[in-house]
Amino acid sequence: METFLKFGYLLLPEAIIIGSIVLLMLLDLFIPAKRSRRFFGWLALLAGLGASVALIWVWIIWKTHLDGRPIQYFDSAYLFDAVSLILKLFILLSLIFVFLLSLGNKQNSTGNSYQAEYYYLMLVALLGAWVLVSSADLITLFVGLELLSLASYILVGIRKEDQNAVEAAWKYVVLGGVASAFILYGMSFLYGMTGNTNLMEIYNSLQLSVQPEAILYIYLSFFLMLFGFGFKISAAPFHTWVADVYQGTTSAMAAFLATITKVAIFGFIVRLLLLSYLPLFYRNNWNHYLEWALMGIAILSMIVGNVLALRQTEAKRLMAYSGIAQIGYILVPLTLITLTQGMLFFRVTFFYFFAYILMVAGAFAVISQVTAQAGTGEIRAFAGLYRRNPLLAFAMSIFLISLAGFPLTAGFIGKFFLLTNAFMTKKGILLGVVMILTTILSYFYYFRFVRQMYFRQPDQPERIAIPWTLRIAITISLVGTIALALLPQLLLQLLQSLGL
Amino acid sequence: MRWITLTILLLPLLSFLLLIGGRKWRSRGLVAGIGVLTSYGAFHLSSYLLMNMIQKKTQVVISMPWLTLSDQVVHLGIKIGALQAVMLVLVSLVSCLVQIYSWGYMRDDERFPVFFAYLGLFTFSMLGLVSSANLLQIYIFWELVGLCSFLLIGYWYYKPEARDAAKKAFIVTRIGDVGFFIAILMIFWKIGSFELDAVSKAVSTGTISGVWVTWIAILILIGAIGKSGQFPLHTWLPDAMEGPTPVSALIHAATMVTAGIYLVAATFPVFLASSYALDIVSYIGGFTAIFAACIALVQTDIKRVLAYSTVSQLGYMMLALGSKGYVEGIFHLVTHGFFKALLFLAAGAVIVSLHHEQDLRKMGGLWKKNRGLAIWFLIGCFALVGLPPFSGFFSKDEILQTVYMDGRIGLFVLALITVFLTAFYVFRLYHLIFAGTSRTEQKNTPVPKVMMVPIAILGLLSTLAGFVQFPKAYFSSFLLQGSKLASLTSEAAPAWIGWVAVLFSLFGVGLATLLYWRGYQPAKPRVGLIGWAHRILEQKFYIDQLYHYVFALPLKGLGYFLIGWDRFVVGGLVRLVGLVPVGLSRIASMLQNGQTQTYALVSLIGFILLVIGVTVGRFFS
Repeated sequence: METFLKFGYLLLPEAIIIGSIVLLMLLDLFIPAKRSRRFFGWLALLAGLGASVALIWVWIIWKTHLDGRPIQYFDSAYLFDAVSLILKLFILLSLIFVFLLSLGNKQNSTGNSYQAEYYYLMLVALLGAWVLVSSADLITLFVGLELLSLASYILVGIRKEDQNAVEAAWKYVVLGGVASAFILYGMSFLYGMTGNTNLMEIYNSLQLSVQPEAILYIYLSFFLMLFGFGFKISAAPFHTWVADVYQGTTSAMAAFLATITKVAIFGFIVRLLLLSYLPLFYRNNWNHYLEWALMGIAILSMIVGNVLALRQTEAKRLMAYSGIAQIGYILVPLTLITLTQGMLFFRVTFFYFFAYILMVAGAFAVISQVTAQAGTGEIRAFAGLYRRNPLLAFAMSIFLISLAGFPLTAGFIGKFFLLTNAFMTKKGILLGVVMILTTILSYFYYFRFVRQMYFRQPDQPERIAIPWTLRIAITISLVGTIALALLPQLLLQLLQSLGL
Repeated sequence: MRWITLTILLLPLLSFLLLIGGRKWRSRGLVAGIGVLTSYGAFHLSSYLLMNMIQKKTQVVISMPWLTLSDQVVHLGIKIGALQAVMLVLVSLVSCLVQIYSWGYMRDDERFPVFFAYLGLFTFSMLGLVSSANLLQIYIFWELVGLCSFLLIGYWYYKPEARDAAKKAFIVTRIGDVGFFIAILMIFWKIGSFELDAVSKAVSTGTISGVWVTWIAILILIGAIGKSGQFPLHTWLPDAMEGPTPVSALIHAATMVTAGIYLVAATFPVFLASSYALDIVSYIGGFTAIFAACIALVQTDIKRVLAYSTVSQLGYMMLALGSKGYVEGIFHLVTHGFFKALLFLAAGAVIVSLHHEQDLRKMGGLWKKNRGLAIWFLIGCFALVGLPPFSGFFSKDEILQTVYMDGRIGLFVLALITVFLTAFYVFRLYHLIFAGTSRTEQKNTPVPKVMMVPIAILGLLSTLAGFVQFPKAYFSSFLLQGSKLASLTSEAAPAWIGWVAVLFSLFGVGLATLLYWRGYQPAKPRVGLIGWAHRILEQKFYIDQLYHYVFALPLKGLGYFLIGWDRFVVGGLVRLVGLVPVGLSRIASMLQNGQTQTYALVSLIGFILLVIGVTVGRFFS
């Protein structure tokens, strides 16, 4: 409580979000039901922008006045440190993209109903994601996780009149519930064996001594949680839900799931591994199994994601499978963390995540507009895009080749960093080679878009118009994707200054 | 000098940006003018740079930090040594001539400015590749070159063959790129730097052990094999003939395929440090040379014959490099650049004058109708075959000498046989086009003058370029200045090699003339061994089919398998187990189509397998 009184102002961004949620809910109550609630989107966007200003202000204060040392609130249940700060930024940036996508195209978000709910639930989800990446306690972690998950379940199915969306939401709820149950079960073992819910305390008791018969349960808890996270982050072999859900929901929501959820859950995994489970990796006999489990998930994700994407003709489904592969890439440095001694881990992972957010948000922005105008989610909606809007086709090509990791795009530099990290150890070479080989496969399916855009005649000749909010989103992603490739030092320096 | 070097690079980029911006411009003169002038500017400055380096024996080095990863700083840099200067001149010259030629060749094309824009980008990428001082930067330009070739091969995208060929070129060369990229990562891991200088230093001081050097060399070679169309990744190169002919000339003479040879030359110290790697380079080169020459014997498309001939000649260059013949490989690269560009441009002129007919069986009798073209084409043929005093003679002779002196006699014999095969298919080609009488009804179209100018310039160069190495080895002494690489070609190489080579090629020319001087003979029914061999050659040793069955189909199968696994195996299990839960609740059962359970079950099975997989060993050990 003392730290909270002293450094509470560092939580201003959270306060802004909570305040906006309450305000929007009240506003929704008091405005007559007949009035359009379209302006809620703008209010929510404003809240997001306000929170980003606050976040940057807090960052500067923290850096200058507190020398950037980690602050722990509420008995170290809630952290303010470099990792949480940067992940919060990524999540907020993604949310702003999602808002821009939703505002640009009514078909992308809710239709006409539930506009207000849509936007403030997004803010709730954001809050959950923020709690998730800032917690250092099992209980707050779970609260954050459920806040994020429950809000996303509703958001996926918010277009109640659309049968596909309802089905997707239903699947997501049931399977998400199963995953949450697994995580909770794992947490209970961890608590039972160590008597603590605080991650750092757990670390201490794991490092000191655990009874030999207890260790088996600790490992069980690790695998149970791995299952839950693997599911939420859509890594193979826990990936089966992801394509149906992406396909069923809107492009904006798919972008939400592909960016915000993945970043938040990944932050969670990193926290849990580094703050609690790390001693297990140094225990002989067992460390191999943990490493191989993570490596297996990474390798499987790369292979399964890329191979399954080969056969897709639906744009969002294809992005879902390619997202599985992308998670496989991102997991590579994490699986090698004990071998590389954590060297460069944060820098390369966060660099890739930033590039990933830019290119995925950009790709979904283009997909949302093109598929909405064509009235079909199939890739053939892109036929002749070059003729209908050359700049849009160019932007999409850049996002695609960035996802594939072609030079002069952020994706290339990001992948290059991941690979240099992998190639620091002998075991990593296997992962690196799998990554490079599966990347070739990805060229085949990304090429499918390119072929439609440039080599096919359009079905409708008229120009595709883009709403200005989408135009902003696409421009930011495009400029970011290219700038990050030409001047990667900018982001690297930023991460370095945070001590990552 | 630094500004000159930068200007050389930026001029083609400027052309690209201007023309892509002005892709709606109507004035063809303006568009072609921009392309030709910028590439001429690049050529002019490159020659100036080369002259300057010959006189002052200097290097141009530019370097600035780009990014820091842990404590290693990665630089962006330019380094122009002797090899790079030669490449700059070759690339910019051929590019300039090809653009002049395209003015005529592409005159009826709708997307004229886009074509020139792509050419500009292609030239820029290749110039960037050869002037890069570190491997990461080379890789970036390397991929850009691949992208440009994709754009240009698929330029006529409304032709399905062109689309497929473009895709094939992109994907097949990417397989090679994987090797190159892994090599770069290994170098960074072991040496901590991407700089070419640092690599050669590390190799010469023995900082990295022999095994790693061999691995790195082999992986670099895989990259070179992909780009330079060597066996077994050569399949994209002949298909790339679907692109416009000026593009073929550019790809085959100066950009793209020469990138692989350049890469091996630029990292030559790594190869010299590993005799095993040198063996592989020689054998792949030697084998590709004769393999492609065999296929060229029976091809009936004018451009495909030339394409296989390029594959074969690139094999010669690899063979030279593998036999420690650094200068010889580069020398052949340069002369080949001239005469292959000449042959492609002349072939393009033939195609234009025959209304875009490319089938050799429908040509003939062009000697009487277009004497000038026939003579220039003949010069290209002589140079390719390697008859003195044309440039190909000198470079090929040096390669043969190097191989002989290096002691791989088997490869030397193969190379000699290839000389004969080359002479045979080249003159088969020549006679089918020019000898006899025309086999089509159509009248010939005159070839635009603007297309003949580059042909004439290249013709002169193909004739004279050999004399940079004769009577005194000026080229060697320039290329080796300030470098530790020694040339193995010495006066000690026996003189009979040259004579024998000439004899072999004369024999080939004679035999082809005897068989084809009256033009094409309709095929007699071929039986027995000859017919069998003919079929294999016609099908290019069935390599494409092999790839289809060995790689493409299993991958497709895996995709089906994974989907089927999700849907049927696991689904079936669920239906078996899940008969009870289904129907428990009306609402639930309406939505429960069984699939969601499937998904949960797949995840659960995955989880259990994972736990079992990673822990079971513990209980058994």
